[in-house]
Amino acid sequence: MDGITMLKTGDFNYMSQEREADGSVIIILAKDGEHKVHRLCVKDLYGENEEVLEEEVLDGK
Amino acid sequence: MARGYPDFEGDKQAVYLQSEFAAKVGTQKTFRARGLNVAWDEYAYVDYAVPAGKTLYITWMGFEGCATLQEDADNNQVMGGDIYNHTTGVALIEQGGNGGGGLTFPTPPKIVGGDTVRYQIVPRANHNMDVYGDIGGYEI
Repeated sequence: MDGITMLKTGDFNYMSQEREADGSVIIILAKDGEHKVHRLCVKDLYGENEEVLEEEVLDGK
Repeated sequence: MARGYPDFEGDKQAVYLQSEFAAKVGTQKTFRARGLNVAWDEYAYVDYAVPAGKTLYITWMGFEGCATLQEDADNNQVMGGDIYNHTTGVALIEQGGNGGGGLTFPTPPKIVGGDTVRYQIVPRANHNMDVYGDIGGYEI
């Protein structure tokens, strides 16, 4: 499952957000029991022009 | 099991608070807002749109902040942490503190499916601050 789907379905236990100067937001998502973290950069989060600019999955093991 | 009696020895039963039970079944949630070098009355925030059919209950909040520059480190680090229903515009909790603060909620504010919760951290000091804020609860 990709990060934006995790966010929209609530399939996570931890989320962090930090705004960037260009208005995009860096989102960190994690789920208990999964040793990995989704890191997304999203433009216009929850807006009409929402767009995932980049995503990476970091292995926590 | 003896005839006519339930098998209490074979079954394990317990009573939990909903917030405790949430952590056992994986429905607990924590949200963090992070902002670096944030100016007075600007804010860092985290938004979350609760999925349809679910309800988010917020059971605690916390925030922490410090001066971005070392020269301001000994000054007051006044700041606030505010929880809103961003869809309706209703302020649910507003808490202030010097350098940080936190609360737990015996009666958790709730956000229904389709609404967006916003937790924002606002520096109120006369210098820029690095701020962090967390809220937590469960979603069922």
